[in-house]
Amino acid sequence: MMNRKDFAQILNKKILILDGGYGTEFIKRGYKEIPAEILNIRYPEVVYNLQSEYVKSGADILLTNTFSANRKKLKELNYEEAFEKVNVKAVEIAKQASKGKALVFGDLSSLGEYPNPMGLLEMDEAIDEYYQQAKVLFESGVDGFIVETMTDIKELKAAIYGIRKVTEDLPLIAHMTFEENGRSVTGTSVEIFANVFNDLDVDVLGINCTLGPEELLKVFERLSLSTNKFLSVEPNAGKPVFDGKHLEYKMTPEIFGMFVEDYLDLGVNIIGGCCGTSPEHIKVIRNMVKRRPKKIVKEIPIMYSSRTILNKFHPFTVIGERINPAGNKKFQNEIEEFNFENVIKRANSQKSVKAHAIDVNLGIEKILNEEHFKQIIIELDKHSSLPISFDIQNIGFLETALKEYPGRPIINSSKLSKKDLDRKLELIKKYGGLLIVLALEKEILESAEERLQLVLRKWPYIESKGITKDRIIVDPLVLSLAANNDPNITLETVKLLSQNGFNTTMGLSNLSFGLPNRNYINAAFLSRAKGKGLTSAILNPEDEFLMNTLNGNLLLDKNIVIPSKVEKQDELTEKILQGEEGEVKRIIENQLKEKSPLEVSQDVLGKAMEKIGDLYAQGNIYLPELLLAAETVKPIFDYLNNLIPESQNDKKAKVVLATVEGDIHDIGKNIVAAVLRSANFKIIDLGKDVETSTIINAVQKEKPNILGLSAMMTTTVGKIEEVVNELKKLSIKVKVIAGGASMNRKLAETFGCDAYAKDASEGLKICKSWVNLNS
Amino acid sequence: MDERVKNLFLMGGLRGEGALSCDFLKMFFIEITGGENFIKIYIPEIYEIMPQKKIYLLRAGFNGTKFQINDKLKEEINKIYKLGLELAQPKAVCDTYKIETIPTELIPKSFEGVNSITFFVSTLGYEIDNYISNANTLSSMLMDAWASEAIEAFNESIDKKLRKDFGKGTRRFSPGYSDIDVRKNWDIVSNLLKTEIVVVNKETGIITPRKSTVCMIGWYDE
Repeated sequence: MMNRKDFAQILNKKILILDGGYGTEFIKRGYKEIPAEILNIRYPEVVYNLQSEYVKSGADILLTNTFSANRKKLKELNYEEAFEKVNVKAVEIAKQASKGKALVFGDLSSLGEYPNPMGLLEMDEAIDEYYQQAKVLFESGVDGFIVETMTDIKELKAAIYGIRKVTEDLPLIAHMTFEENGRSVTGTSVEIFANVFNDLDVDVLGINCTLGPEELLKVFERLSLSTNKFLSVEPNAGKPVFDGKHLEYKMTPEIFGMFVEDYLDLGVNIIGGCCGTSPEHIKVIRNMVKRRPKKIVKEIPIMYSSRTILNKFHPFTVIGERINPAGNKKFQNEIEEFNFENVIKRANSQKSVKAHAIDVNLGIEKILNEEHFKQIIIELDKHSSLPISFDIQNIGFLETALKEYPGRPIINSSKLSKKDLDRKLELIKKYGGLLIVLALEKEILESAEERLQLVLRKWPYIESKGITKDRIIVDPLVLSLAANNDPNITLETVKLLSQNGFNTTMGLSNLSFGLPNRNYINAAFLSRAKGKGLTSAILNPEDEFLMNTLNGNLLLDKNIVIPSKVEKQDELTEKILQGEEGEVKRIIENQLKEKSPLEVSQDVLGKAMEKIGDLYAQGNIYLPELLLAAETVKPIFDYLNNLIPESQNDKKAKVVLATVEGDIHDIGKNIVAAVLRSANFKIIDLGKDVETSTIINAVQKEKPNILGLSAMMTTTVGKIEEVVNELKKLSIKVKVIAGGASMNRKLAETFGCDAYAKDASEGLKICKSWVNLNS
Repeated sequence: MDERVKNLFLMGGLRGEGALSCDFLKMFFIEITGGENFIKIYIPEIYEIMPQKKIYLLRAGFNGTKFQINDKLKEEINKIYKLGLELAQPKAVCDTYKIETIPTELIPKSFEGVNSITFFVSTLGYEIDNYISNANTLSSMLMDAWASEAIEAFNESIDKKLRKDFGKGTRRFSPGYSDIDVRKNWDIVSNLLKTEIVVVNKETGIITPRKSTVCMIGWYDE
């Protein structure tokens, strides 16, 4: 049996190959009518054969044929009584097929019904379903687990909680499925998935299904940038083709394999195939994996989320305080009676004034029960609310709420006493998120220095529990001015905490409790606290004066950028480099309203291309980019040239190019022609395998400034010398530049050429220098 | 030409129509004995000619990781890779000769001590050439780069298989390097391997289709 540490060690050294599709393969093999998982007990040899083929093709991990073998789905198929047998047998078959050459991972997927609010399933019920299947797979001896093709983040969480109830020792891979826009069917983005699961007890994050390798690449890139966990991916064999009867995936193994390296570049650790992929696909994937994993360590900002909204903690997080019925009897009664209309209204109005999170503090906890906390989270989730800061005192209620929450929460708050801290740390370890800690153990300390020292004293203990500093926010404590407290102690605490690298937040309204003109006081204090380094506050976001003051501070701190109305100077150059022909045409047509076609051609498009030529000559862009630029502007130059009378056309200099006699390869010469054209040279291209006499005739007729000769083979380079000698004999004055695979500087000198260019870039530099000398 | 060889060529000719996974692409050697002639034609699995993208890009001029490749160019790069796989008609002819039966002018000095030499000619076929000659400069340059690396990947694959069979050998060698003139390509293809899968210009040593190579590896073991 594999343990997590060993698995991590393997992944650090080697890219592992997962197997391919199961359902689609069984259909191809004629088992369309029978549910795939039932094959484990009816036709185990069919499963065995496919898995053996996957191992033979090079799969390092075999998945058990248990994708839909949870009790709930089997019940729907009228196979509930076979639940245990199907799962036990699946592990047995996979182990036999692996022959000790591949790991066997228990495969779990959707229950067929989402947990609340997307479906009707209770979260505890969902967790239990996964627990039951994971238990059978675990007891049958799997090496690890994978949860895949999950479209609902809450259901994926249920699966993880269920599996981790069975074992904390086995590796666990968590996959979600996304559409091309990087969102799951139930609205969660790739970044939210990563942000939530970065905290949870899983070893590998990944994506599978729905998209082929090409479309999935961009989505996968977003995942790769959002996590430092190991990464896995299983694309489909392209887009499905449905002819009205059959669903088919037609991407060949080779085209699939073409994208494997792109995933390796993004740091993938495990790669396999989903729907439509076959043992042949796996064989090609195996063949395309030729290197060790690329470890990319990403700086991931501190973020928190709901199901659909992800916010960065910095530069400043506004936590809306308005879901708090303290002092409002009517609001209290509504909550007690499960009427959450006002809660939703307040959540929405705070969202509309750009709060980043909402603090949920139901106050009257003594008269509420678990169901209240469960329902309120489900209701807020249903209405796509902002991320939540959980201000819940009763630890049981808090856990109930966290279990229901689909995003990455903020937990507000914990005292620094061991008992409170232990319980809260345990919760954020299990459910993820950020924890607000109060600079307080039992009593409120007098000075800022004492508060800091308390935090510093407690910090090693928090760290020893595996919690990093970026998951802790310290509340320096704000006390009421009306009770004669010194606000400077709080400000000084913020300063000291910030200097020690802690993020901070505060309940701002406490300051002015019981005073008139509260918003002025709060705003002034917030300004000062922001100046001392405050990174968040719980406040009333509907207080316009307060929010404007905050935004003013952010602006002064350069945390907000004022949108510039100045257009980019070189938009045209950029659009050309991006190959956006339509955009280039649009810019040129706008220019034609004010300038003549000749001016646009020379001063606008010509200058842009010259700039691109310079970028290339200086090594700032690569040859394919230059060629793309040249292809992009070609039709636009043609368009402009049609508008310009022939007599007005004026090129920089004339160059005759030829690949000498005997050479039938002329791609190098063609590239030189394209590069020189881009820099506004007039090119006369004589082609390949050109006889000496033809070249001489062309030079006599065209009278070019430069003659470029290319030779590929050692057996043909002598032709360059022949051309040069002939030119000398006839006293024809033209600068000769030689290049090509078999040419070198010494040969060019010996032959009497004026220059040798090792590539198109050098050719361009030389031609430009000659033209400048002449002008 | 033997009927089976004709069929092979014919099938190779159909490959440009995009059917990459057909049965005829499965790996096989065909041995044909016609009188004293003995020909081995090898048609690889397509993945054997798939170059690493990094190497393809390097050949195309992206020498380093200094810049991000823009989307349009990425699209073009992938398009050419895919097209290359569709257009390529890879095949190789390969045979091994005892050292004493090989003309001395075909044996490089560095092969001293070998007991036998395997000669092979490999090609990606004419469709790739046609594309390079007729496409715009960017596409043909990318295809040229892709095909150069594809033929190299193909040769690597043959090389690996041969070494598995023959054991200790020399480095892979091609005429035009060191002491064997490039024009010896003609002798190897026409006199030794006696194959028509490529054509060599006797005067220049140039092979057509363009993406073709002549290689040799010497073996030390009996």
